[in-house]
Amino acid sequence: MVRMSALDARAGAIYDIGYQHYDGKRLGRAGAVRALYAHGLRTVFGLGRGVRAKIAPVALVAFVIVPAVIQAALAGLLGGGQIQLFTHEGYFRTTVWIFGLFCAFQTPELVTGDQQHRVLALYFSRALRRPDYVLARVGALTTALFIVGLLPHIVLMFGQYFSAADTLKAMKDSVPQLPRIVAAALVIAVLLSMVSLAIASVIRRRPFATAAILGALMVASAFVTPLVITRPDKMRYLVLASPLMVGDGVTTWIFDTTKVRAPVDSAFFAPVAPPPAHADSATMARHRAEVRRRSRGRERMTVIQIANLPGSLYLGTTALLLIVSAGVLTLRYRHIET
Amino acid sequence: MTVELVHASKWYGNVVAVNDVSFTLAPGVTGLLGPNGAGKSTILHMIVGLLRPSGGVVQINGTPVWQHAEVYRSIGFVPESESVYAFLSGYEFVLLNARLHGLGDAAGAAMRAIALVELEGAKDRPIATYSKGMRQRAKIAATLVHDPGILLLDEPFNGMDPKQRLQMMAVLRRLGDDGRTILVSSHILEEVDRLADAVLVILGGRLAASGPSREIRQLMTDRPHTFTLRTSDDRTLAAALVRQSATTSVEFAVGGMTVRTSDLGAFTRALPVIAREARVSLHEVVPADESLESVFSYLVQG
Amino acid sequence: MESDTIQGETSYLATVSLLSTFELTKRYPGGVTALDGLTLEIEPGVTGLVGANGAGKSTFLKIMLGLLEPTSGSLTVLGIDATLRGPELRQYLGYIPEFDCLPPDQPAADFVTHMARVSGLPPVAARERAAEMLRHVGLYDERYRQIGGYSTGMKQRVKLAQALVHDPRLLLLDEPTNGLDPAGRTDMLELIRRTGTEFGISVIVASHLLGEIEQVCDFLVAIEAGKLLRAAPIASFTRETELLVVEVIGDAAAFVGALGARGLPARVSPDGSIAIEIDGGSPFDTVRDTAAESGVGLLRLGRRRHRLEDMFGAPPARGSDGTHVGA
Repeated sequence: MVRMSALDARAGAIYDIGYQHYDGKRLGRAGAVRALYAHGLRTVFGLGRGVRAKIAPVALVAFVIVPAVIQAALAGLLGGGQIQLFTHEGYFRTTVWIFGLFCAFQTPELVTGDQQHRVLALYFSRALRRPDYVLARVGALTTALFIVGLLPHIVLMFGQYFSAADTLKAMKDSVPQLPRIVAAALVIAVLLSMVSLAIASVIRRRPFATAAILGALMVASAFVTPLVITRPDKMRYLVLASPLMVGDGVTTWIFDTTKVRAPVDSAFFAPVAPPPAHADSATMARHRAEVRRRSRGRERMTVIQIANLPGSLYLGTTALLLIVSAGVLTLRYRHIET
Repeated sequence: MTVELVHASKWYGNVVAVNDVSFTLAPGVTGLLGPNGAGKSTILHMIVGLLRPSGGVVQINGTPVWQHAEVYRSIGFVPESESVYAFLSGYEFVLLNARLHGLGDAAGAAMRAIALVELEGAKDRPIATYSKGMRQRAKIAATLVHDPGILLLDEPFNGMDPKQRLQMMAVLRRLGDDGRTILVSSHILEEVDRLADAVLVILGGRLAASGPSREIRQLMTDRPHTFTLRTSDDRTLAAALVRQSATTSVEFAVGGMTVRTSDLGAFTRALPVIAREARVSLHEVVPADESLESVFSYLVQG
Repeated sequence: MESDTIQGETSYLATVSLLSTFELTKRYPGGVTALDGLTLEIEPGVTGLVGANGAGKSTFLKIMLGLLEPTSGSLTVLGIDATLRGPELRQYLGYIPEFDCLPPDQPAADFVTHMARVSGLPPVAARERAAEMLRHVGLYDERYRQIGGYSTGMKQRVKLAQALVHDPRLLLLDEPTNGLDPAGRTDMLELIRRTGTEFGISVIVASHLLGEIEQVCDFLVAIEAGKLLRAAPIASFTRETELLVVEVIGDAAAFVGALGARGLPARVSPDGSIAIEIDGGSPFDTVRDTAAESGVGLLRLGRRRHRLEDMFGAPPARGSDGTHVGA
């Protein structure tokens, strides 16, 4: 005997597809924060927003990774250990400005959009608390920067492993570098995300937020660097005014605490004493040679070395920037009108 | 003061926002109705001289509005968008407009306009502190300050609470009765119905209907008129009504019965006669689709 | 057990009243008093909130959501104190602000799903409920397009969908038909009615448009200058009066004369309608017979009802008595 199933098409039925109440699981604040975090991560990389939103993040991530890929490929082709275009530490220094660009373009997408379009009214009319929102956004941007920061180093390391004569030895040799790479990526991620979020949170329109972040990160560096290089004796502390330089300082310190200092004594950075008024040609020649020696010496140093400040100063400034940013974010979102 | 559109059109490339619209506005209040995007704002902007007609003529008292700045003396326009300087006080803003129009006694005119919209209490506070309804009133005052013969208003009551709406409607009615030509564009049909003597309905850039809404309704001969009746004996009356040739349908519902008729005059005359003959008392007779809302929805449906 | 029943009763009572306030007051720095000693109770159902002269309406909604602290007094929604337990209360509330609040660069389906997850729904349930709510509000293929390209009507529907997606017990709507054309207003009001009746969710609609409140709401709270003007069922605002209003097609003056001859004094109003004092009698048949005999067309007949606007002491429009006959 064949039993008629409930879905037998011969028996007529109208199914109730009216409004149903929801009696299922509710995840509370934790679920809300997780959702905002995941959503933030997708926003930062332009996922789910159409092609235009992906251009900037994809391009910038490519800029960050491609040099590592090239080095790995070259190392593979030409044999291990011979090609060392980038050290890990050097990679951070060279790419930190790309992270700055990334923040300038993507941080406004993350927070300014919600303010400008007043979506915050919908978020805060739910059980989500204001600090939860801030936490989720900070988490998303920091995670994104951290991942992007780590990726090229992973590529570099694998390049080294597979081009080395003895892969296992190469792996063992690289182990002491691992915690340094992770720490450096983490510091850059946290510092840049907090500073750019704090800036973007107080500006109501995306283009202005981008401009402000560019100013604070890129322009500050571009402004500070020549000043420090030409007059290091007077301008060295200016290095602390640029978050990108501070980040550079911390990462340098992480990899080799001595490298934050210049390899010469501080007298090297003082201006060369001008020759006396009626000096003879030999004295003038000596004067010129000394000036040349010093400037060529500086060319071989990094800006951080020229600044010649102790590593603790960079660490302290980082901590200060984080505290101030956290304060700005907390106060801003506590008082923002929805 | 008359506003005249003669075969007026406005196109942007292939997009035709207004398509061959002709009408004349007479003194009194006229409503401008239409779905979003139908061309109402475009028509208003053409009348005010902010847009040049691509075809046809838009004129006031015989003079084309476009690039004839002297016509602006007779026009007042209250647009839908925010168009006030929020840092000025209400009084200062109205005074500014008075001065811009070159009025002799700008201060006096400003005070009169402020009094007309009942904004005296708040006139010295900055507009930034005003509620939405008060901002609207400030805009209206600024538009009235030069005593224009023609007033054009786009959603003028937006943001006003019920009391303010009724007060402003009374103000506009008075101005219309005084002989000014007023055109009000609004989506709130029950208010336009009370305010306006006649309406202009714009659909897809074309003028679909014009005139008092009752007359437009009469012209819809293909639409039976609908009445809701509550009586002492619905079914008996229904049976008698069905025999009447003007009745096209009868429907029963919990609240009463609905009768449709193709001939308004014949039905309304026959109803009391039939009811008396059938000894049925009529407790309520309500024409259900005579309102502006019904007329408008019929026009939109096509 | 006795104590159980007493406890059970109090918790039942706590849930019967949807919202109650006691001496609710909110004063802003600068001297503006938005709410002044408001004491009222709202039952489950669809309630209208009307305010005159002041910031009371939006202030009241914000306090209901637990987003604003009152200066004094209390407000309890669904048995929960809004000021003390705001975040907990908001799980059960849905809110549609008056202004634009949607991101333009996401499709509605993605956004509503995201809001469901922010409300605490697990991923699969979030996706399903989002799809369901979009269907209930009438967004089909459009939901996969970016919100930036939507018309005002579609955007209002998205706002409604995100407010319903977590199955709230109470929906707060602030000027839901703002910016909509007549067809859009009709659709939105219909949706609101369905939410209140079919979906079984209580609704509070804050609006300046008395017409739509009458259409959609069963109960009305009217506030003027921060003080409670009246809180009562809509029916009590629109009671029948002792006046019978008749509109005829034909010679109105002759008709009035004929009525007078039958002992029914009547007068013609400026808008052409005829008003007859009922005075305890039953003039319906007299009117009917007079109309039948005098050959005029009977266009309208019925007892005049009070209108919502009467409570604001409104000046009559068009010089008429504000005719409003019928339901």
